Amino acid sequence: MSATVATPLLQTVARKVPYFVPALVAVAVMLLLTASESETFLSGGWKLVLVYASPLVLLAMAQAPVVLSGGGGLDLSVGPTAGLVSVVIAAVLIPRDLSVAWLVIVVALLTGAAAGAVNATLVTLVRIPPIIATLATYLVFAGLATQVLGAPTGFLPEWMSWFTSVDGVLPNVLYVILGVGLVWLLLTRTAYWRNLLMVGSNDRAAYTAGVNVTAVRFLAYLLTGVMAGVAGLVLTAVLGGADATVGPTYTLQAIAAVALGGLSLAGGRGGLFGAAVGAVLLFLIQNYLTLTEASSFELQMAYGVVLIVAIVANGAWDRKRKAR
Amino acid sequence: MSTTITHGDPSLAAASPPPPKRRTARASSVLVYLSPVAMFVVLTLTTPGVLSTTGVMSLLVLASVLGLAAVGQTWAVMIGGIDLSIPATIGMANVLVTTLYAEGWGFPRIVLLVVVVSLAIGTANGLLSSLFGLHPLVVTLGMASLVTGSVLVATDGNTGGDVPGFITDAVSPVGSVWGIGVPAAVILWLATLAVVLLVERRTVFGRRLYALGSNERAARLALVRPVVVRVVVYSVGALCASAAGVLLAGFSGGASVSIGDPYLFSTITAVVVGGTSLLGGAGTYARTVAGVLVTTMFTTLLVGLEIGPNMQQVMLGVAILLLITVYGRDRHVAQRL
Repeated sequence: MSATVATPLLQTVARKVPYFVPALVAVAVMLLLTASESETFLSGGWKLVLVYASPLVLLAMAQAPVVLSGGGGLDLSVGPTAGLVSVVIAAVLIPRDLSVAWLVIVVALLTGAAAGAVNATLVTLVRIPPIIATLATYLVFAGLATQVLGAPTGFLPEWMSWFTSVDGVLPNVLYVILGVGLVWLLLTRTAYWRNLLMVGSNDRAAYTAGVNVTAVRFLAYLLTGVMAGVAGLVLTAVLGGADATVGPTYTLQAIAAVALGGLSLAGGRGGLFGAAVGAVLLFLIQNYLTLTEASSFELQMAYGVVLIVAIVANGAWDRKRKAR
Repeated sequence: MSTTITHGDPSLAAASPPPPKRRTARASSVLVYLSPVAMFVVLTLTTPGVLSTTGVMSLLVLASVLGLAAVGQTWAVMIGGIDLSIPATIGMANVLVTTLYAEGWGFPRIVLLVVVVSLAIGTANGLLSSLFGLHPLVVTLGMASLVTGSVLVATDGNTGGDVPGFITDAVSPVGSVWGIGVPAAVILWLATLAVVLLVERRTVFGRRLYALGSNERAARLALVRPVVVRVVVYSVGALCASAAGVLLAGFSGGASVSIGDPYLFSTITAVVVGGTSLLGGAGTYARTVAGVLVTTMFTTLLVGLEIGPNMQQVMLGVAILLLITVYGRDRHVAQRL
């Protein structure tokens, strides 16, 4: 119905532009709105916004590889993994005076990788459906984190404030995000990227074509874990300490961000950039609603409406893209 | 009664030979229905106090709240979806009952309002998740935020109130209905169970439910209207979740919009432990009931062993993994060609 009414031009545009463009346009709109609402936003306030958005951005990026790998690929445990990492830093390393920068970073990445490897094993080798496997590890990681660190702590080594510093031209946390993006960019130059999309869009076809589906998916979960580790590190810095209950709250937001960023939750379409854009969009929406000085109740209501509207608009755009 | 619907692409399924050495559905369902029995035996051995009328009844009351909340999750999963708005719906019903009762509304009027709101939530979920093939995960997530926010705005955050005495009685383990020593909450659950199973197995709608879950395209060709099925599924789910929310008002601790939060994952857990495939098209609420009983008893067992809430969570996660490893594994891609 709507396809016949639509101008051919719009349809051509929809088909030509990359998947993340609608989210990018929405981000631009939100930036304008935010700038008009807050005077300090353009003169440096945006850096602080980015710092606070960074854990969600990184977790949405972390979510991307498993979503792309298809087969109902999803990692509900990214939030708790980030929480676990921050608990390991604050409750295991720091009390033992093991707070040298390189050690903390390595441990954070390894913890994330270990969590990712557990998920990867459960999903690809034991072959437990992803939602179930990662729901179970969500419970395990979140439970362990709260068990180890019952009450939030706020003592961090000096160097971790680097992550939250906004003194430079760009906020430092942006370099972390760009760094993750760069590693991913290098990965997209390899055959792995092509295989991942192929497995994501049709795993049976990929298998018949000789792609090692199990290995491709295993690596996707591992990558997700490592990126969740990075997110955990940044989350710790942004919170200025560790709180075992904060990480898990990011999981559903990260999935919503991925969907807003134009990735197909069925797999096979999208990338890390879209996920990051979706997360920025989600955060800007929340941030804007806060700026308008609505009550937290109205904020929650409006957030629900905006999320639904955004996802419907995204779906409509996608329909236009696929229309013949 | 077994459902002989295969999922996946029918064109490929028709061309390929029968999957080699597929574990029979019957064997795994025997395991599913035996697990509550086994769990009960373990529970009575470790916590002898459970083996009394009050003990069993308090277990069943807890199970009935989770069981009602899980109706919607089961059906949503059976049509290949998921419902993240169940906790918000529970909170909505919980808060409406207590605040409006305190304002002097009659109970029937409150129930009518809760029913209308539930139907609105369910209809919105069903319509939106039919639109452009949107993923119900994100749709119901947004809906959850909208519902919780609306309730808070409407009540100005004052969610406390009064609880009608008969709701407290309904969830009391020593309560009884018509002289039978069974709490009303349990009766309500059993009645719901009967209706849900009847609908699944003996009605046209039940057939459409399985058809939509197995293969939407094929279902459309068979003149099933996915929108209608989805609207009904999410509405029934919202109604049952509201019933759970009303019952929760009977427990001490006061009303709150977030009272349903634990039910986000516990309903999914109950469905999963029951062995209903998240791919849709298979499973039944009866399996979820087994899952509800197992998880309720498992939690009671851990509480009895004086294990704290954090480690309870960890062990629940491990238990899910073990159970699904036994009866819920996917087939290898090579066996799905």
